[in-house]
Amino acid sequence: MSLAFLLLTSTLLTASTEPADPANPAAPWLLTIEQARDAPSAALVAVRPGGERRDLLHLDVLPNYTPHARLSSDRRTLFLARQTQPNRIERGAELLAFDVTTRALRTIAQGVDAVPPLALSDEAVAWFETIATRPAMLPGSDEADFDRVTVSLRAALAGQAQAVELLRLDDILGVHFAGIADSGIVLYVITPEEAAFYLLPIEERFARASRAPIRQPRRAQPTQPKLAIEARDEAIPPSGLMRLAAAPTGPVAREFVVHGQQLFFGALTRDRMGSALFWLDIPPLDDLVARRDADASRAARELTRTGERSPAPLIVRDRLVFARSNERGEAVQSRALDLDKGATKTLLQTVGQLRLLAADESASSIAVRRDFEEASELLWIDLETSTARRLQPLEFYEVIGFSKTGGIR
Amino acid sequence: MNARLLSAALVGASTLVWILFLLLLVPVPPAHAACSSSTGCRVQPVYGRAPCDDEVPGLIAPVCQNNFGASNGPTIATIKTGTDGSTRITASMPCLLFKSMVFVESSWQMFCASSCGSQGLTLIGGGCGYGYSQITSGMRASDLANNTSTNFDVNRVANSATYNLATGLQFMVDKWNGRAAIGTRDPDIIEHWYYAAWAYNSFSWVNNPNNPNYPAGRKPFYCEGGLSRANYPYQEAVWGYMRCPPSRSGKAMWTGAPISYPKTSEICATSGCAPGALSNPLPNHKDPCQKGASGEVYDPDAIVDSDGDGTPDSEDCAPQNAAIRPGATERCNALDDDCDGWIDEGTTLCPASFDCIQGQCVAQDVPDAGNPDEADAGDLIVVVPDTGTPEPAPDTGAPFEEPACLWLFHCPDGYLCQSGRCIQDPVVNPDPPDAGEPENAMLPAGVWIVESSGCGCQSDSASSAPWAGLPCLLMGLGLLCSKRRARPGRV
Repeated sequence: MSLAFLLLTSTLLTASTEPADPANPAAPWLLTIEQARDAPSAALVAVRPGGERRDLLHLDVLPNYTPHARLSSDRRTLFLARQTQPNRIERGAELLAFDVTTRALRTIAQGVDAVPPLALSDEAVAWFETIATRPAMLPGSDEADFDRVTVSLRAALAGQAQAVELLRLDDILGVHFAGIADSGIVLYVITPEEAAFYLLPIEERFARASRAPIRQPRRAQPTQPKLAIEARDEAIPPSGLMRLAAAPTGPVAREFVVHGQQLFFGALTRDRMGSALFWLDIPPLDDLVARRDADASRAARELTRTGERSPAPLIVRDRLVFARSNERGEAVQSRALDLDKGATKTLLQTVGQLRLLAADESASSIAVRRDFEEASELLWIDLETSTARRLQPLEFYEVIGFSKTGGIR
Repeated sequence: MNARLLSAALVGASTLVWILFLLLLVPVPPAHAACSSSTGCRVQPVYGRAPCDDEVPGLIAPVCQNNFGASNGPTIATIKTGTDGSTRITASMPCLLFKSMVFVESSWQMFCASSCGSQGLTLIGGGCGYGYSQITSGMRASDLANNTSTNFDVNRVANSATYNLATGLQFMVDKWNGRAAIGTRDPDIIEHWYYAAWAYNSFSWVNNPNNPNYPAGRKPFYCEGGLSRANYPYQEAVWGYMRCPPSRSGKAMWTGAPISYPKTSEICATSGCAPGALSNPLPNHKDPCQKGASGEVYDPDAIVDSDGDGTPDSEDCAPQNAAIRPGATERCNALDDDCDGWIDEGTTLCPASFDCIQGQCVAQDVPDAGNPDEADAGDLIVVVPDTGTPEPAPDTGAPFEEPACLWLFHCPDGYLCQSGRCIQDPVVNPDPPDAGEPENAMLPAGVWIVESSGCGCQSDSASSAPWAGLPCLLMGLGLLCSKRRARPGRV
């Protein structure tokens, strides 16, 4: 990176630094990873309105490859997937854990997929490793189909060096973490036949702390064998992977949020002319095991259309907050999580594109990126006071989430 | 000092000078082991002269035009063309695409030299990727053990810049021939190479643009507002660099072009997720190097103005609509005619006593004394359109307690409803904020809180009325709202 760019960046930061707020030690911090263009390092930075910043960690990274990161449920540990090989997602990263309060950094695993990990609890983390790739051909054609992969889902506890393999998925196109429900991990799996959501119950030791214990199903009964799976560890019961429902409009779902036993996500509408916010009720584990909840009756339902904007839903207290576009620009809207009551409210409207990035459930704050023409900015929006304040990150940045209040000095 | 000691010191110094001189004569390979690790790879790295950046276009041009000489590269298959792929022609690929792709692969590096023009070992990346094109297939030690056959010379991939690039072309042509058609499957059109570029890295879900790891609505990689590389599939990194080229020593490495993207809703959007044919991405671009043009860099004059309105597509918010362009007159039509990011802005779009509401000039209504709960046919209630499912009655639970002002129309002209209070709009009222109002508490220009699905507007009659503490009466009475006139500034 040129010195001129550095100076320019520095000047801009100085010029735009806002006067400090009156000290409010109870205010949360927004954790971000910042990286200048072409720079071989990234910084984990905690920011607050008023220009407050805390540099927590500097990481060597590949130029322009900002690590993927997820916060633990107690918002104290940060799990980082740092890519070590350019242009290589499959097993091209290493997984790190960083304690935000003590600033201790350690390596959990190497050769993991360069995708976001999943924080299972305060201490446990799960990740994917693609262990085989197989080219495929389209039937009756000399043209290629998408590669089939075999993916291992692995997990580790913070205090234990040994990772365990929870699950192995074979002959799929891809798999993602949708989130963690009260009853287990929700997976979004893409196969040559469909894109669907699955529930993987996990043992309590992987989901303890700040989360209700997960009860193991009493009678593990195989579900419809839509996937070639192999349970690899006692942490899950045999054939414990249970299909919840198909994604409503094919493999175009994204922006998953799991809250309790509800899954929210964005996807294309059925006419593929825009985006919509969908939700899926995840049945209790016992009902799934006993198959009292018929597979066929479960389906993700459209909650509201969001125009051209993918909704990027977030949970703030007891409300669902999401983005939506209309003829005046884009809006941040909310509605009660109890979907049977309450109207949609518009909280904020603006020109340009909005992307909701993170929410602080307890303090009713959200972090939003706004792009308009060539400019982009990071906003901290307090939904209680209806104030939006601009934060000043470096060029590339990833917003991880809000830290535990008082955990950062 | 003792003379003997002095003599010994002189001899020692002389010897040291000689040793240094001899060291200069012997070529010492630069230490770039990290750039060239051949562990598990088939071919050992070799020394070669690292070309400088300004030499690379001259190396790439004959290769992408398939004019590198039969002895300088592997055999290149003919390339499919036409929607059904039944016709085959001599292969070539757009040079702009090839430059960008080679940059994504190797940062235009063939040898790991400390500086261009000097000697260095072959760049061997992760997975045994060799040189400019990062050729990996057949280049692992296991490929040798398994007698994996290749249709190129593995040693020349490691030692010859041109051969390495030509092998990259061979792979791209193979990828092109093995994938479904995009548009008319014309190899001169850069956009038609989307599948091939995808497959050059991995024709798998990880590079699917609908993969949820890549945010929706992301701007082109490496361009203004773009995200870090981890937010893009491989081929979009190539696309990003084509549009916004990287710079070295303050100089762009090539001339960028706004290459279009296919519609992601067409890609693997079926339940079977098959990589089927895609429609023609518009506007599309040809690279003049295929046509024997003298310049091998992208010709900026070739930038397309699809609708012929005099504004290049890259600057036109509606490249397929000649009536919409920067500088056009804004009209009341629910469109952004002048490409300024605003729809139907201004107060002169409609005749007097008319307001522009959702693309139509509608006569202003007069407050009536009718049923306050119902808006009559003439009432102009501007609401944020809700295209979603009908929603039940509004709730009033925490944390969204009703503030003193709830909507913008509770406040007079030039004020915003913020934090439950009417405050001066910093855009309409450029005066500094009140001393008691910290600057950082102001709403960023261009953002406004409306806090409701109700009017995003203000009452015509409210400007002269006392507004402090005004309850949400106007809306409740179904009173008219006119279009909000305050136009937030750009940030």
